[in-house]
Amino acid sequence: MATIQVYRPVPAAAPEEQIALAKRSPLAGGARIVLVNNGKPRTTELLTYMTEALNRHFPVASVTIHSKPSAGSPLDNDIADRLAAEADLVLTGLGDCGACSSCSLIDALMMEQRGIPASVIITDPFIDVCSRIAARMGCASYRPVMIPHPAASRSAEWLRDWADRSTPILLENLMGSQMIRIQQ
Amino acid sequence: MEILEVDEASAFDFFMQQDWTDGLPVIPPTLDRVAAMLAGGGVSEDEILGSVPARNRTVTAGLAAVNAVMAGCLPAYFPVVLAALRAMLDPAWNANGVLTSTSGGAACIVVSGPMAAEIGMNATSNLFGPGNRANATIGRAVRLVAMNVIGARRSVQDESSMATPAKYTFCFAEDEPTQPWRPLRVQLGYEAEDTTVTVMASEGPRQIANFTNGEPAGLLRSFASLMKPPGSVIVGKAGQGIVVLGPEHRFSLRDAGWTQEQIVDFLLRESRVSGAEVEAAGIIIEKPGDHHYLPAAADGTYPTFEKAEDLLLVTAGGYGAGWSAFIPSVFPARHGKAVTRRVRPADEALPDCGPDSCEIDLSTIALRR
Repeated sequence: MATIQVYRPVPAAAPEEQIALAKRSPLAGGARIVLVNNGKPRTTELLTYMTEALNRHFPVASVTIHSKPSAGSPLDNDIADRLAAEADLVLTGLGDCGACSSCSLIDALMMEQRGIPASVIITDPFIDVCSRIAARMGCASYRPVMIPHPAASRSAEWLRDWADRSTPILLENLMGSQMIRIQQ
Repeated sequence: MEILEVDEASAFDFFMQQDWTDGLPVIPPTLDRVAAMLAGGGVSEDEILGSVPARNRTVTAGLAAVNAVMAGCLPAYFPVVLAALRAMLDPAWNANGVLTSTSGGAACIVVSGPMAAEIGMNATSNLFGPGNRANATIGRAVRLVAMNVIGARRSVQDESSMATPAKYTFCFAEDEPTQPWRPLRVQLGYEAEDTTVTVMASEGPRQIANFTNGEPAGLLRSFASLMKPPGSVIVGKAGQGIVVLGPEHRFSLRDAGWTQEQIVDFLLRESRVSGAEVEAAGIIIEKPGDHHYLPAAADGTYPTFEKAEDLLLVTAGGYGAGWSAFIPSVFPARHGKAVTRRVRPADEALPDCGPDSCEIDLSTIALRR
């Protein structure tokens, strides 16, 4: 059997960039929530319903919406710094396509890196790509909040219903399961 | 780079099993072939062409050469492959967004300049079709790098819903226009003796047929009709596009005295759509600021292209009844833009910066994060 020497055409496994997630602590007062809106249709509505649902579990002091210029790119570092300084909790979304779900996930991880608990909201077909990115970034257990796809063409009632249904996972993502018990 | 020992007779099967191909046979990247490819580009294997930070991936000249060999490139093509990859890795192109997006775009590569003919690229008949080694393998090499090095495959990070056959390869050369029209590279500010590579994340080409109307305004209105169907993702949202003017159409326009700038201005205007046209096609116009639709102008129309720079005019294609083509960008320009790079010939020396200017003490430069 004749053999030949060839190069492997793919890179050696990149060192995983271990992202330290933010510490979940009890909230001292009303939470300042920042919504990182990627501009996909119905995102403002959906994230607003989600903060209303959260407000039934803990006091919300303020809700600020940051609109990204493109769903297909993550936040700039300096904008992420500014948002982190203004937030106690962050929601990012809506990831309902490939590029936007991956970038909203990275937005959430950028907030975590800056010490702010964050959760990304995606539609269900994009869980695999988010899982692969999270694993590659060294936080394989990072769990997005998922709602059924599509969301863009649904009624306001449907969005509100799914905001309510998502609240337990969103609370756990943002507060940590132990913290939820303390708050309650 | 990692070296493997494989059975020569079944090398292709091995590469297929490893998920390292586009589904078609590849040339085994042996050490001597890769060395020849690197020499063809005048680069060393560890030269970094660019990175995609959102994927934690870096593209080296070595991995590019391995994939160019696999694609079937000759070493003489490698400077063009390198320029295309450098364009694609420019942050403005947004490789992470393009290669992850459900919109599933191709990397459309346009080569303008003398090097295209020197390496035997096709700029005329059967322009987008099979049969020319340079066109076929340069585009394929770029796609294999995207798949193997940047991770643009289904099992890693490529969420294309439909994609396009142009993802296998989509590369062509410009057929130099005659005076007073200027070739693409000169329109973009480069010198006539340069060769440039322009890369745009695109859909496949749409063929334009107009065999009967040689009058410029009428002819170009037929172009605009294919540029603004409301079901197209860029309509109303300001995308980019490449208009490939076939010989008959460009001679009609040029002989009538139209300049390239006039053509672009006319197409920008004629490709705007009214809200009524969009809604009649069943598309719900999103609120301005909520996703992509731009605000309507005072006359109630929405732009398909916002600025003249978003529409590139290229002359190419074969003679025959009146054919041209329109290549739309795969998403609005705010998400990523076409990028152009000059091809650096393999034997071109780096500029001499003088005795002091290259001696910078990196430790004195403060880097943020």
